[in-house]
Amino acid sequence: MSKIRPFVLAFVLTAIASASASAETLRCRSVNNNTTCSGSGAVSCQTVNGRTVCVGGNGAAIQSFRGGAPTPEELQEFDQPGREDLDDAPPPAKRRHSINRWDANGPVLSIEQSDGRLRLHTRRTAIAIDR
Amino acid sequence: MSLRSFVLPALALFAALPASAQETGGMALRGPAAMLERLEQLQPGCRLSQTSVTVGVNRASGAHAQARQDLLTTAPGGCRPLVSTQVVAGANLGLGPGSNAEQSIQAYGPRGVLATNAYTRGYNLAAGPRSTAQQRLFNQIGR
Repeated sequence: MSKIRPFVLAFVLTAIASASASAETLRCRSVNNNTTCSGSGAVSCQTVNGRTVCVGGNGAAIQSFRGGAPTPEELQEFDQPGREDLDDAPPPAKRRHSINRWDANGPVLSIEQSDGRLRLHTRRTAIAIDR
Repeated sequence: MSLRSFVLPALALFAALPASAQETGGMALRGPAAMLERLEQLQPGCRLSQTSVTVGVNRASGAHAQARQDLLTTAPGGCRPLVSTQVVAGANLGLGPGSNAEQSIQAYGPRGVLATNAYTRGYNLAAGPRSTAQQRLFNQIGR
């Protein structure tokens, strides 16, 4: 038993000494629902339906923000008319999908599908296909 | 442009297209008259159900790399289906040291006459030293 104790003590001391002392910092600013964070290490922020959660480094620092409701412009754009507001025939369908990608040098790729038209833009190519 | 940088967005585009699925289930008719009244709200020519799935994958893997991606899906306006289902999912990864990954996914869809299902899921990770990852998911159902 007396032989084990120094070994255990040495192990514990080594473990404590090898554990890195870290002081994670995470500084966040939220102005008009636009949240930006910076920290001493890696920083990841995610906003889901107006609620933002920012995590610094290994998760030691976390900040969350609750944004406001969608802007009136957004809601107005997306107001759905009631039945009494509609004519007998439904308005033409306007389905739209778009993907835009950027890298450090600017736009890389743009794909847009809207009203039967498919448009593809890259740095070298521009294609438009009408159905 | 590498093949991989084209394939990923193309897959995301196909994922963003409306998915059709076999639907099963039922509803308890607690008030048949009220139920019929709601069913009558379905516009002629409108779909019984509408499903939208928008999935984005964005990553910055190189040292000090920057990768940004915006996805948008809007559904036809004016038509309210009986059942509306809208899924938004994103994975955003800042892997390289000093890298910056930014992704925004927005989806706008109609409210269903009988039921509306909205699912929003995201995975956002800044793994590289001094990397940043920012992801915004917006799953909006019409009023």
